[in-house]
Amino acid sequence: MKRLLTNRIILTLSSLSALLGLAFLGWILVTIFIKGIGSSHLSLFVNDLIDGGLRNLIVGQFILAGIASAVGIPIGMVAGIYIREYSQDRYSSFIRNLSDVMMSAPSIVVGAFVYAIVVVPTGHTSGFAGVVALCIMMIPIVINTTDSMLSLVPKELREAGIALGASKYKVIFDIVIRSAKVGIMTGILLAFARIIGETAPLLFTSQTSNYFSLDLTHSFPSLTVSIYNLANDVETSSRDLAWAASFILTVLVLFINLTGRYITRNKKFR
Amino acid sequence: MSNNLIMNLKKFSFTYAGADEPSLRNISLPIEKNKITALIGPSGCGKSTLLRSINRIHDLYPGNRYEGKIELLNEQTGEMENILDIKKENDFIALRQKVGMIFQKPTPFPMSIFDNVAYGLKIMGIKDKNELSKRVEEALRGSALWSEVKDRLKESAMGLSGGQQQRLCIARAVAVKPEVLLFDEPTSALDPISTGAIEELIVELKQDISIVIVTHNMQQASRISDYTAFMYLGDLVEFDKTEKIFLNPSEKQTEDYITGRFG
Amino acid sequence: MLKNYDEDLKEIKNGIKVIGEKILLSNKTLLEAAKKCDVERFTEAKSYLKDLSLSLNGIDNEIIKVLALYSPEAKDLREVVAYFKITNELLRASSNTRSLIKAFVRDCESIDMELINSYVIPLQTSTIKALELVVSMIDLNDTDELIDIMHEIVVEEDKTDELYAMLEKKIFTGLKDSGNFEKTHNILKAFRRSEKIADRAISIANLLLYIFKGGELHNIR
Repeated sequence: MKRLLTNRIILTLSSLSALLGLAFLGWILVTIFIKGIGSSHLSLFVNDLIDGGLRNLIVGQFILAGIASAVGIPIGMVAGIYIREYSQDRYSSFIRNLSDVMMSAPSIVVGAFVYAIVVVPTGHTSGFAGVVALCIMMIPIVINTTDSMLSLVPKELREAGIALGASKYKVIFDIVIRSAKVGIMTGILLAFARIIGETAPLLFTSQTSNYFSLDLTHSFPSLTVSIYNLANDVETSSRDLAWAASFILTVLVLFINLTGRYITRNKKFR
Repeated sequence: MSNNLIMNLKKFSFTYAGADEPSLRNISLPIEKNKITALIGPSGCGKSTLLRSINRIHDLYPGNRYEGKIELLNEQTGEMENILDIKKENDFIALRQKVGMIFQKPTPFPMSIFDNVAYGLKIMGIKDKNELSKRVEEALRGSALWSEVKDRLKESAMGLSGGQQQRLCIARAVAVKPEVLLFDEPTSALDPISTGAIEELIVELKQDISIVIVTHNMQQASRISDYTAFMYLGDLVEFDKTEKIFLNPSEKQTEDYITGRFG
Repeated sequence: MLKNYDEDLKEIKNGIKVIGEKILLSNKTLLEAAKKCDVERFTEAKSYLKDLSLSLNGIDNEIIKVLALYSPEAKDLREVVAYFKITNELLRASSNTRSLIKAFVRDCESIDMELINSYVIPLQTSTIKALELVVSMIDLNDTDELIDIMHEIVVEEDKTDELYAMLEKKIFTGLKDSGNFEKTHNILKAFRRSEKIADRAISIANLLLYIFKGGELHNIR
């Protein structure tokens, strides 16, 4: 009887904790939704910040994240493949640990670092510096996800390839990577979703701009940095704009995340 | 046993990387051509370790130590060559094309059924589409799978059932026409009907290929094998014709294992 | 089913059948020979039984091999165990036949022709019929058919019992006249063998029926 009661108590407590966590998430989403939707209108996507819109910021954020991905993803993937498939245990676990540490490095520190090595020598902030910062953040994530997904491929599959006379290189590319393909792609998608929502690395490196720009050699428009600036502004209209921008950013990130989960809905990571 | 050997292990010992004691000690075992040799014994006796030494798949993981010889007949010269001397990648590939392996868990590659079976053939350098189609069909027929898959060769192999996947792996291995096929507990993950089908297949295969099979199911060894080797804690305790081992074993350890009086 | 298992089972069944046919042939030839006391034909009858025990040993060892290697179950197990017991019955039938031949060779001339025609020939004929029927059972698969034949064998075996009893009575009454006890006893012993062979036929038929009917293995008379 006592066991049954204990059971019930624990069950109730766990359910309440879960509900509490979900409640906060729900509260955040609802708040952003309400505040954001009120300030949103179609002209946000047509005008640049100078005219009270968000167009240049949205485009700018995508460009920054896009270029960082174009550079960071290949590097991260190759490194991930290397540590999982090629190198010996001691060396690969060293790289793995380093990558883990980098992943938990405070994003503001990364920003400060890039400030020191790019912004100071060049004398001014630039989109280029922002890309470097985002890249540094992205690479460890991609290494980690590639490494994890490859580790899920059973060793018998590799052995079966070798047992047939395939060289190690063929086994990795024809069989192992193909097996982990979906998982790796999802990981990359989620890494992109992470990066596109970063603020601190861009704060001192590319800052932001009120104008539409494709020039990476100077301050570059960024949605996240602008939200920060707008939120601190005295004008109510600025703060309203910040809400709208937050709402759009949230929807974007949510959308990418859900897409990633949808793609892997049926795949079993055997 | 006549001088009709396809492989011969002579005082073979094996130590895993980082281990103090050898896992296999002084194993001398003849493998006769076109016969089925079974390796039986309790868990941890070394039978899988021995099997995996025969196609040197241990070499995927560096640091292992070998002693003694494992000889493979070179069909062209008629001489026995020690495969433990192999060091170059090309020679390893050639070895594995002669000595294939089937694993306990079915391992279909993430590609179509056709591409799975053709994989080994493409490695061998066969590019002609007609030749490939012909050999793929031949291999699938030989594995009693053709009629079930002939209309869906382009579909993913992952859609097949467990028993079918294992037969696909066998077709894939058989396509390259190896001299020896090593089976590592090929049916322990399958249901009895699939197990029966694969046992029949293995008995058929021995007409063209010499077979070594590791099994923890004694009845399987007694049903299909011609020769049986009983192993215990890294030693080869007894090796003889299957009939003798199961009716009249010479060693008490063998008899204890077979009658279930172990431990 | 595994090819080698199937082949081994078929080989055993065939071996049993071949031996059954040889014993049958031996008894048939014996009957022909007895009608005319033909020495050559007696020798022929004996020749069919040559090396039979060796063959039966071989079948026994094959059965042991099948049990060791294939762990037969259900009908396969019943089949193999039945054959294992049938080899014993065949061995006894063979030795009974041999004794019968020997007795005839020794005493054919001296036995009363009337006895031969009225009792011995019908007795041996029934025995042969029983043997023929049981050999025909070996290749059958239908339980009902097997039961029918079984009944026919029982009929024949009853006949042999009756005929033997009558023969015995006849010989003992004749004994009062001729007075040669030992010779009479030997002759009677010989003809009893024929009746015994019919007994063996029933035992074998029972075992063959057991394969299909199942249940418990029992030696009913």
